[in-house]
Formats: sequence, C-alpha cells, structure tokens
Amino acid sequence: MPVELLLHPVPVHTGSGDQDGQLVLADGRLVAVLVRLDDLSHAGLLGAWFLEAGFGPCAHVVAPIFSDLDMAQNWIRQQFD
Amino acid sequence: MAARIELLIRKLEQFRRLSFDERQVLENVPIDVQKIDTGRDLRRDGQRSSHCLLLLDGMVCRYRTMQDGRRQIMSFHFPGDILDLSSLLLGRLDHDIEALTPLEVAPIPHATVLGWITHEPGLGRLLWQDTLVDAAVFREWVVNLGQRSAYTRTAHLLCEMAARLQAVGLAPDQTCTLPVTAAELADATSLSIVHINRVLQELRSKGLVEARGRTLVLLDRDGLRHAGGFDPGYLHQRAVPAA
Repeated sequence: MPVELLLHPVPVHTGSGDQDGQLVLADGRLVAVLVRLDDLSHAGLLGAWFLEAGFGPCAHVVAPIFSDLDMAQNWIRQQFD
Repeated sequence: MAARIELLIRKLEQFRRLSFDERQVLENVPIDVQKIDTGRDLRRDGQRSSHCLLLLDGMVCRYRTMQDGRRQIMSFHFPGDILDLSSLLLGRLDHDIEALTPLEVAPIPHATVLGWITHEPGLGRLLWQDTLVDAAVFREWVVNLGQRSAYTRTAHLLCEMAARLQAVGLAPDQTCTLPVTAAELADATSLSIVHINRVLQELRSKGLVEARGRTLVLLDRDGLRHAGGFDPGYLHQRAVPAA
C-alpha cells in the first residue's frame, strides 16, 4: 500500500524570510518539514520548497529543493519504496 | 621574476626572516608562468607529478567529490601557496585541486625544491613549518565543521581567508575582497546552498559583508572576528613590523 501523506501548514522560524512551512505526515508520523524559499537571498530558487528537516527515510545528508509541493510529495513517497 | 617568487618569500617569512643566502636561492629559481582558466582541475586525485605548483595569482581549492556528486572543499589557497608540496614526498595526490578564478601558477621541478632543502636546510625547515601550519588549518576546519553553528562557522572561515591573504600582503585594509561564491562557501562549510544564503544574508544585514558579483567583500573584519570567535593563533603568523 502506498504511504498516505498529510500536509499541515505551519510557520517556521528559520531566522530568515523563509517562513511558510508544511509539516508532512506519512501514515500519521512526521517525516518532513518543508519550507518555501521566499527570502530574497535565494535569487533563482524563490518559490521553491526546501526540505528543512527530514526524519526516518526522509533524513538526508543533502537537503533537496523542489519546484513545487507535488514534486516534494513524490520524492517523499519514493523514500518509502 | 624576483617579484613573483617574492610571494613565496613573504609566505615563508611568516615564520622568520630569510637569510641572504636563502633569499638568493629562491630568487634564482626560473619562473615559468602558466595561465589557467577558472574551473580547470590543476591536479587530480591519484595523480603523480614531477613538479610542485606555486600559486602566483588567483584562488584555488582542494576538494574531494563524493559518489553522489556532492563536493567537500577541504581548503582554499592563495598566492604564495605551494599547492601540492605533498607530491614531493608522498607521490600520488589524494584530492583534486581546482582553479576558482583565472590563475597564474609556476611549476617548480621537484629536483629544484629538493635542491633548496639540501643546500639550505633552513628552507627545508620553513617548508616543514608550512606543512605543519597546513595541518593546523585542517584541525581548525574539523573543529569548525563539527562544533560551530552555521553563522559562526562561516564568519570564522571568512576571517581565516582574510588573515591568510593579509599575511602575503594581499588584504592590507580593514576590507578584503574574496573571489568566492555562495556555492563554494557551502561546499567548504558543509552547509546547503539555502543555509549559506541565509547566513550570508544575516552577515550582510549586520554590515559585515557585501556580495559584489562573484566576489564577497568583507567590510568589517573586527566584526567578523567577533562573529566567528576567530583567534588566528593556529596560523602561527609572526607579527611583522609595519614597513
């Protein structure tokens, strides 16, 4: 059975202009905190979603950046394969 | 070409003043300047060489590439540095060396460097001291990457780069321009590009740095020293009286 993802919007204190976040729960357990890159310092990455923190199968040395939330969810699902 | 070798002399004189004979030996080295484009690898992991490369102009990094393509920059190098002194005694290199800017380098045959050590053992000790300081810098990087916050870590690295440039007379003022990009700083500090952007933004907002094109200008070295908790003792630079 594919993992069921639930997104829950949450403000995140990143110490920067990046504040809009999403908690991602997989089958009821927190696996990722995604943050939208809105700080002007990100230039070419503005509006993309950054894996601010990952847990379990989503814990990654290199935090990926996704162009939108669908891409982020696809990646999270793949981590459970 | 004495002016070119002067960079190496300045670097070695961080430890002590050279004798007349030692200076003569270095000044008599024929310098064949080679120009290298940005992004080119000067040396590759596993490569053997019959020459040491003396950096005359520009900036270089030593790095290792991981299997998934990530890169760890392990050190930055500046004019006056001999980039692959280890090749003299260890043979194969255990990392890559890349040009971060357009470069001028001078290959110096291993036989010439060994000749310095034979005829002027004092020069051998100075090169040994240089490799010991290299090791001290690597130790400091371990501490920096392992124990300091992203903000402190980055400020500390910028202070170190400025202090090393200053030692060869290339950062004489309170301000200092580093030809380094956010991506390169990310690779050197083991931070993501997102985190290094945030750190640089914070340093900018405090008036400590300013980005200008592909360079980073350090505006307030005292402020950065404070931000990075930077103590230059590990660089073992001799206090040189003002000229």
